[in-house]
Amino acid sequence: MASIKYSIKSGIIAFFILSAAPVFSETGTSRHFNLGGGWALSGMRDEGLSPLYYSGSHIYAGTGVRSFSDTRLLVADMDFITGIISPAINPELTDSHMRNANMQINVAYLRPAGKVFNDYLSLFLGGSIGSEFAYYRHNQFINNAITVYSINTVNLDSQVSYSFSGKQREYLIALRAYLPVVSFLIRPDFAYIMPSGFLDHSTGNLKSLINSMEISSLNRYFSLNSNLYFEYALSNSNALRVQYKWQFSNHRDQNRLTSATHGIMLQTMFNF
Amino acid sequence: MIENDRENSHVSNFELLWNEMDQKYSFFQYKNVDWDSVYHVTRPLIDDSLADQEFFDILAGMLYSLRDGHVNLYSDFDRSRSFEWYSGHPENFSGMVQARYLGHDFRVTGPFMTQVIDSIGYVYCSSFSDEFSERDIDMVIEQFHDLRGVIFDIRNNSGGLSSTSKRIASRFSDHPRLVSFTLYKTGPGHGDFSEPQPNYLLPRGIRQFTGPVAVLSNRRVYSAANDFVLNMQTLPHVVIIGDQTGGGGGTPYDYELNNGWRCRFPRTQTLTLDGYNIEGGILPDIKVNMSRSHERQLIDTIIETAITWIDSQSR
Repeated sequence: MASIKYSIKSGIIAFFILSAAPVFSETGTSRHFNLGGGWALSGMRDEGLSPLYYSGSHIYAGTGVRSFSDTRLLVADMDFITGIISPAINPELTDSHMRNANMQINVAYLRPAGKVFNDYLSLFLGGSIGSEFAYYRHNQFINNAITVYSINTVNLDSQVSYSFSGKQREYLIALRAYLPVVSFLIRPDFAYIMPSGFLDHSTGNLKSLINSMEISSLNRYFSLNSNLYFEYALSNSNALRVQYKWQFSNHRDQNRLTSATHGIMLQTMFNF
Repeated sequence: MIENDRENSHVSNFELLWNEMDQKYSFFQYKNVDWDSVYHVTRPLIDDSLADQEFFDILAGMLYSLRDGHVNLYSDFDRSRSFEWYSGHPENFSGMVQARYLGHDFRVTGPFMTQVIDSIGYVYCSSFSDEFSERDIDMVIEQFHDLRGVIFDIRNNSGGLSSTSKRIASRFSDHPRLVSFTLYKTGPGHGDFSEPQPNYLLPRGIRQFTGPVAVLSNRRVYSAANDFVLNMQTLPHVVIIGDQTGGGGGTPYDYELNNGWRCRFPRTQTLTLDGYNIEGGILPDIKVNMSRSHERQLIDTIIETAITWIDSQSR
């Protein structure tokens, strides 16, 4: 136990010792690797399973890299949440809940699009591609206990950022948002009503997966994703970042799927 | 942005259940049920002032019109059900008679009760709900591998997980076989189904038993146990002996109502390779009922028929 405490203390001290230079360089390229964790409140309604709205607290973790230069902003992020969601209705009458895991990957390429608001705000515009993999397991369902789906998107992407200094430190506030314009969804007819023998050697399930593939636009799959960042420069170009994430999505299917997430995460950003 | 609660009245929950069944239940045409007329009979009975128990009973009555053992409504105070699939039919099973065959020294390996009767292996499996390890079924197959034959008794087995029943059947399969087709409900119409999706039975495990196997069935064989009979019947060294199974060929999926009650109903159909729908049960290869006089003498007519058949195969 003592050695674990010592390792944690050493890690924290090493992190701050390594931090010895300004964070947000004005020229050249800065690259950061970020890693962090936090808490999320996530809810969903999958009408293939239930008309009830399920929601609950989640563990929220994220990692990614960011490369920023005068000519472009490259971001690759991966978010992961997991937790248990329950229906709000009749908690004393129903023991229903679902274990939930969701992973999202997003890779963005943005270019500077000028300054706005008296040159206070930097605007970046571009595009990104994203993938979401979701898994639910209902505690009371049997043959359709497991739900899986994958949503892959091509997005319009933007970021507005504001840098400022204070007390010999530099700060950054940024709002990044993206909107899928073309989506490739895999929600098989009976993957959200999936038989228990799904992982059997039957080709029928594979065919259903293939048959369920769908390319959609905003009219069938609408999603809006935003991240608000506050970055506090340490030194040596390392930083601490607080991130607030908000996401909403809606798939207009026979079994409509609606989900929303609020998440807050503290990340460390390492310059490399 | 997502509405937390939807209208949670008796009327809205009735409409939700009726519509969900209307669009997703898979046997309206097979059972020749006029679901619209069920609506017109039931809807006037629904009133938001009904007590929960009264409302439950009306919904249960509506679901009972389907005469389907896979259709249930669950509340915190009751579970609706239908036993049409076995009630009124001969039992064809007696625990007291079976006990004579099992004796006192039978083995219990996972969900399997096993005994050797005159160089024939006897296995009784009362449910496919219980999980078991591959080692359990390995032990059974190993115990029986050099015997003249196996009697696999699943009478009164009302099902469980179809994957479990398939895992067991695969230990009697000598090579991959196409065994059945599944139709999945894909649209709101009563006849909207996917193309038949093939199901295969593959050999599994370190050893399979490919000698003579008699599977014993009765009317209480249902659901995943019905699937087991279907899978086993495709194997050339297997016969089904006893009574017709109870059926239950659709995979039931769960759903919830706005009041938190849970319902389940089938959304698939299963067809044999000949296109026969197994919802109503599977006919045995050798039809035999338990004789009353045998039963009084603690003789199981169906087990005796199986022994005779295995004897005929080993000559």
